[in-house]
Amino acid sequence: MTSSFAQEKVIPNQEKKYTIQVGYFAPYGTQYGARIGTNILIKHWLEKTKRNENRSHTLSITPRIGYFVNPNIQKNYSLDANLVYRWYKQNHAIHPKIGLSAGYLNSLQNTDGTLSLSDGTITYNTRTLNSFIPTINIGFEKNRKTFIGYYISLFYGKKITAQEVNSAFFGAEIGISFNFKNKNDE
Amino acid sequence: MNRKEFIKKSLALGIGLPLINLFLDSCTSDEGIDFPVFETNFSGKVLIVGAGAAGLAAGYLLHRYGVDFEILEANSTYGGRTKRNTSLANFPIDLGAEWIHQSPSVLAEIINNPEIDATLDFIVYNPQSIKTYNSGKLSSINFGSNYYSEHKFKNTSWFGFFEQFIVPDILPKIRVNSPVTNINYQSQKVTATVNNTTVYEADKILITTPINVLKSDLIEFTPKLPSDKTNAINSITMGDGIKVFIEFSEKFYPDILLFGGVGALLSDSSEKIYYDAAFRKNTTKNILGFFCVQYNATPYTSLGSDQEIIAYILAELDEVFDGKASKHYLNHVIQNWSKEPYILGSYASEFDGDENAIKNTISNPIENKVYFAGEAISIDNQSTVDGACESGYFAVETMLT
Repeated sequence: MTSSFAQEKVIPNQEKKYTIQVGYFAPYGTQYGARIGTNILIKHWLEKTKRNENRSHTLSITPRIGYFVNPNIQKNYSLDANLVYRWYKQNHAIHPKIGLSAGYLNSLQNTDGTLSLSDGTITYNTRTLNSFIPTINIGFEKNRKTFIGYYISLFYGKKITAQEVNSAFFGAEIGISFNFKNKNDE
Repeated sequence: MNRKEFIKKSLALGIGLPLINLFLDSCTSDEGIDFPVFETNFSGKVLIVGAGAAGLAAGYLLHRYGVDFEILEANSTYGGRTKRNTSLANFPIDLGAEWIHQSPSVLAEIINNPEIDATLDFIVYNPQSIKTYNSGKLSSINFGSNYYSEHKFKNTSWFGFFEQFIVPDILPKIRVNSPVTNINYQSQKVTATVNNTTVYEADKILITTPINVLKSDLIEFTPKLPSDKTNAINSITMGDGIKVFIEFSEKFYPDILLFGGVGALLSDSSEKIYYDAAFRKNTTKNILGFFCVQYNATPYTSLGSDQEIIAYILAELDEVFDGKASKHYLNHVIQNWSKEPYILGSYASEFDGDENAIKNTISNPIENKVYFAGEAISIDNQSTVDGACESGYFAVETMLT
């Protein structure tokens, strides 16, 4: 591992880019929505492989906001921060990542309702559930050398709430990332 | 998987509850039913055999079109596999059909009356705590709540729905305690003999009895039904069915208790479920429901008495919940549908052959005089109350056009 000064010197340009991720967010595989986030680099270091290639390691935080629905049952808003570790050889386009996230989930759950028998219109009553959602995330992403990249990840964790029973929280996310040049580097 | 497939695989009509089929999407699709609109110059009389959902809906539609009809019901009341208990809890309990298997708006579609000034409260039935009991181990699978949701009545029941919105228009036409023993369609008119004594005559007859009644010898046809019709009827399996509701002093059970692993649930069209019958009802009572159909139900339905059934169930619950069932037991009510004389089971669940071909064979009228309807032959919503209504509407439309 290099010193922090050395790290700054060797940070690849792609890591300096300002990134916005927009993903199709599918908790439980059947619910759907979107999640948007950005990437904040915390730490970067290099190692030499046996073939004398540079392998990059990065640790970053991805704050994300999300929205997903289970039609006619509940709407969900999530806010979380994903601590992501990525490693890659600099000449490889695709690289793995693993992360731990913690966040807040706000769910508006339909509980009951009223049906108008004359025209079939329905009015739902809802309740609000607040949950803590720690998850582990694994996936792949295309590196950030180009303006548009993509990523795929799976997540698994827990939905913890004082208002209801706890349950597993899992699903998948697939998305694209927009990589903007940092103005300071232009 | 669409609504129909969902129902085929895992739901219940008639007696209603759905199995939580964990890899199925939320069951909130809206097949809906089409209330028939047509013109007719039919001026004869129609007999309807059976005052279950299909028979009542058929009568409702005939009434709309001003057609003379009578409904012959074998039991002492109408409703068929919709049945209500009002004594166990402070909310009506559905002893038969319980769930609304699609959007509640289907209720408005059944009534089809834009002038009606009424509303119905319903529950979004989306159980939160789900446990499975398998090989002596109780496990939580609460994430299953994300895969399943339906609706239930909040303050009424399926029986109450018919009682309030369908029956008032047609009550004078319903003849209860009138089991049909013979249907004769060999002359121009068709006759139905009740209790081997009273003969009713009409131009057309609509038979809405459960499939198991048709398979039994309760009704004799003169002449006998065509062989393709009887073969189609015999190719439908309508298995056993039972519902039990138990009041406890404490709620020690989850919203849903399933048996077996997830794999067994996915491959098994039979159902055996305990569920919180008071879920989202306006009550403080602890009412546990037991829903069991097809071959899983046979060990219960074949027991000799209600005392044996409740003892068997409490022993089973004691095993799962460490004796809490017997400890907190207060009261119960049992509905053994397999022993119900003019029902004889739960609902159509399996078809030995092409399902739609079988349904069409049964639905095809005989000599434009004998018609059939019921949950079993609903094309789009089989095994549901709304499917039974849809089938009744379709038969009447066919009859009158």
